[in-house]
Amino acid sequence: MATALTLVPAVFHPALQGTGRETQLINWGIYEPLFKAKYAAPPAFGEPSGEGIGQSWEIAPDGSKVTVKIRTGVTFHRGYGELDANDVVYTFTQAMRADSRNYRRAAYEVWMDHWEVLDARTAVMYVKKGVALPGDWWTQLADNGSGSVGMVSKKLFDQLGETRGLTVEAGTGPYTATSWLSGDEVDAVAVPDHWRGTPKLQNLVIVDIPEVSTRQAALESGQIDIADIPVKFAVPLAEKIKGRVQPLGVARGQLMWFSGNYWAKTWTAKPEEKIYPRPGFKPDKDHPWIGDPFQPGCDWDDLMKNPKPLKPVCPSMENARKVRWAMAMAIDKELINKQIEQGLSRTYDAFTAIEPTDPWWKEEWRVPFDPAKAKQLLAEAGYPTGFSLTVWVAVGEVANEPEVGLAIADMWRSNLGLKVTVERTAYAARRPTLVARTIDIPFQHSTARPFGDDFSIPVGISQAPGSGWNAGIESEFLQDIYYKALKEPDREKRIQMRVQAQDYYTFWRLDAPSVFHVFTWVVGPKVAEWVPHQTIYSDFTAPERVIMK
Amino acid sequence: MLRFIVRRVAFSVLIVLGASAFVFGLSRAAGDPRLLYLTEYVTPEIWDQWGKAMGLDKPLVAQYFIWLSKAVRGDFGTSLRDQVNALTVIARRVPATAQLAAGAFTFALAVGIPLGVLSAVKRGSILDYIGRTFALLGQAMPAFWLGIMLVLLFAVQLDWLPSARRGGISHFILPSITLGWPTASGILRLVRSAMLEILDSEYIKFARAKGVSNALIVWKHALRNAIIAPLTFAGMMLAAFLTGAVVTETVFAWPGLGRLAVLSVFSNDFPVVTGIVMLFTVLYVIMNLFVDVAYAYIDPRIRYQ
Repeated sequence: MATALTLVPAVFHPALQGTGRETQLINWGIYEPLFKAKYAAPPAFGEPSGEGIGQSWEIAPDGSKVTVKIRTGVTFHRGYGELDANDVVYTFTQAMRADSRNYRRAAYEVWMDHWEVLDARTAVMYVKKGVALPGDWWTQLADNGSGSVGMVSKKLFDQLGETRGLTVEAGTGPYTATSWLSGDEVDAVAVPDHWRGTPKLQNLVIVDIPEVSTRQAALESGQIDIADIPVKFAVPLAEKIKGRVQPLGVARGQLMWFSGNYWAKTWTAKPEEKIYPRPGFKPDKDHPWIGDPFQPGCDWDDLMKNPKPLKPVCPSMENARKVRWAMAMAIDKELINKQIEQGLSRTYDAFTAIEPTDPWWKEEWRVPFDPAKAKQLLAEAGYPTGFSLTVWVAVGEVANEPEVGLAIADMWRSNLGLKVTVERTAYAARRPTLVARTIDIPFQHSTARPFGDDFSIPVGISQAPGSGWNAGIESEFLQDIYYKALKEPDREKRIQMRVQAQDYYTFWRLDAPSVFHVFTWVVGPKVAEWVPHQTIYSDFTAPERVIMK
Repeated sequence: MLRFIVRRVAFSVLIVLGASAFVFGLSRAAGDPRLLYLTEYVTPEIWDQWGKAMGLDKPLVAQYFIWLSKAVRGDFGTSLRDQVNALTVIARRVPATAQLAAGAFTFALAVGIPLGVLSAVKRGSILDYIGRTFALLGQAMPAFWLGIMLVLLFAVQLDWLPSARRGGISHFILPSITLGWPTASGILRLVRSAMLEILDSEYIKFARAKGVSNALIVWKHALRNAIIAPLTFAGMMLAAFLTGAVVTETVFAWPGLGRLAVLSVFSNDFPVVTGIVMLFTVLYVIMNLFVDVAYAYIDPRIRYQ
């Protein structure tokens, strides 16, 4: 069977994988994470189970550590022997080491301290002092949710060294790679007598076909059997080839961040560290969406300490707020859903992933489509004829749907008269401006409700100044909530914190939400059965559960 | 002649040096190179260690010469994606691009020259119109559109050829046509106009008067003289095939240098990007040098200018 999707490079060392998509090694059945969720059909994520390498676990009463029992009979490919606790500890230690580029490190860094071997079958994970074990800790180490780290062989790296070892595939999954050209093709065969059973599908070919039209053609001609096809093409194509559509991944809320609103003076975690002014903080006539809370007449404490200001807002902040609201209200979300998402999606209003079905949802968070009101707000802010701006719509970022970004840019042109220039830079190339806080233009991004969401991180780590990635928005109010929620043991209180955060986002309109984007795959007629497992991203998973006709 | 060659080689070296300075400048303009290799969680000690190892504590000019001395030895740094030497990553892709370039070049010559000759010999006939239409289409159709149309026709509708990926001979046909068609058009036009001029020359008329067969006149006496300019053009296009197949390789998921360039830009893999840019620069400079020298050899007036 052949399937088409974006490939990860052949780097098999947990500290040196840096593309952010290495969880594919697990999804493709070549590597395995510590835990394996009990299978449930998408959109469900599957429940925690002892079906993985970690057979059981015990959380210390004070939440300071988790003791994991390691399964016997799990062997590495290419003769690197049986996996034990040393391999598990080695894997996580490498992923967390000081110069690690592992994409999971950002999430682990928040709460994971270190790992120790108790005996060959027991590994202990220590939690950072003063930090609560997050409710989704299990998922962060499992094959569902937003991915994990694949277990590697300590013996392999001891024998070959890091430089040679990183190019040798020696996972424990039901498939082993026979050839691997980064960015092109991975050929794999089923591992006989795998500990989870020998897969029915013997040969797996994963190819990277970047052009959607070519992927469609390859599916139509039967050259490939499963492919990632955008929703607007998926339904007619599946009908044409007598295949079927398989939605995968969490629908991701597409939004525009109003970057450049760096309002914080200090970083809550390190109050002595002054972070103001950031390079991207440019509250001038060329950046009408950027407010300046440091202007005379602005009560900075009132603006930064309350979800909504208690006093009248100063003009430099209020005008920018009106501009942001105007831009958000000029987006016709229903039209985007109909035209781009084929009516299969839903509108999106709250960045903090609180949904209208949640009991703590507030109707005031909805962003209405009201071009007349939007124009009025723009005029009140001093821009009756609009202004010029550049909007970044990233390419090459799996979770974004660029067409949504382009549609929003068009709506800003037609509904508000803005002169919008769209910048279509690759996500990876622009990312350093987010980390360095130099970005000062609106940009498209996406978010999804975390799997196993326990409200421990109310606004995502993106707004905490020390965390690297940032949406071009820094506020001490959001920082304070973030750090408080990390340590707050009471779930109800954490929920209220997230509600407060959403109140803040809504009042200040720091983002312009649009729709949830649906991710679809088309399964060709030669495939009799494919029962994938769900992840946050729209990843191809579980080839071992593919049966060909 | 030797003086001419020395002057041209020196000029070529200067161009490569200029390009290398430009590429290095761009890499530094993109920010601290450590940002590419290290995450924001790295300790200050490791950050400083990397800085020293990369020579970032030295003046920019010194950094350039360190980079250049490594680049000359084929060390463009470690690929951020693949974690191996960037040149190794590039080298893996060269065979695919070379194969595709060979396929496209063969197609361009095999179609462009005979069609150009026939178009000139049968001027005003249906064959001429077919040839000119072929040339017009080849120069008007963008590669991404042509590639997709060929895929739809030959892979989807007729099911004769594969739609994508590198493989056996059948996998070469559609990408070779897509890449080679514009060049075949150029060759066709050049051959046609040169043939028309030569077929009208005195020595051809003389050959006819002598009773030399038409086939011999066309394919031996006329074509031999008409082929010089198209072959020079084709030589330059070969360099373009090797360096400019980005679109064709993307449409056909062909694992060559063009796709690697795109992939590396998307991945912010600067060592590979700089390696590819330098490789492309050197290739073009060598091809230009070769053409310059060849011209000078053929036409002595050039070397005395």
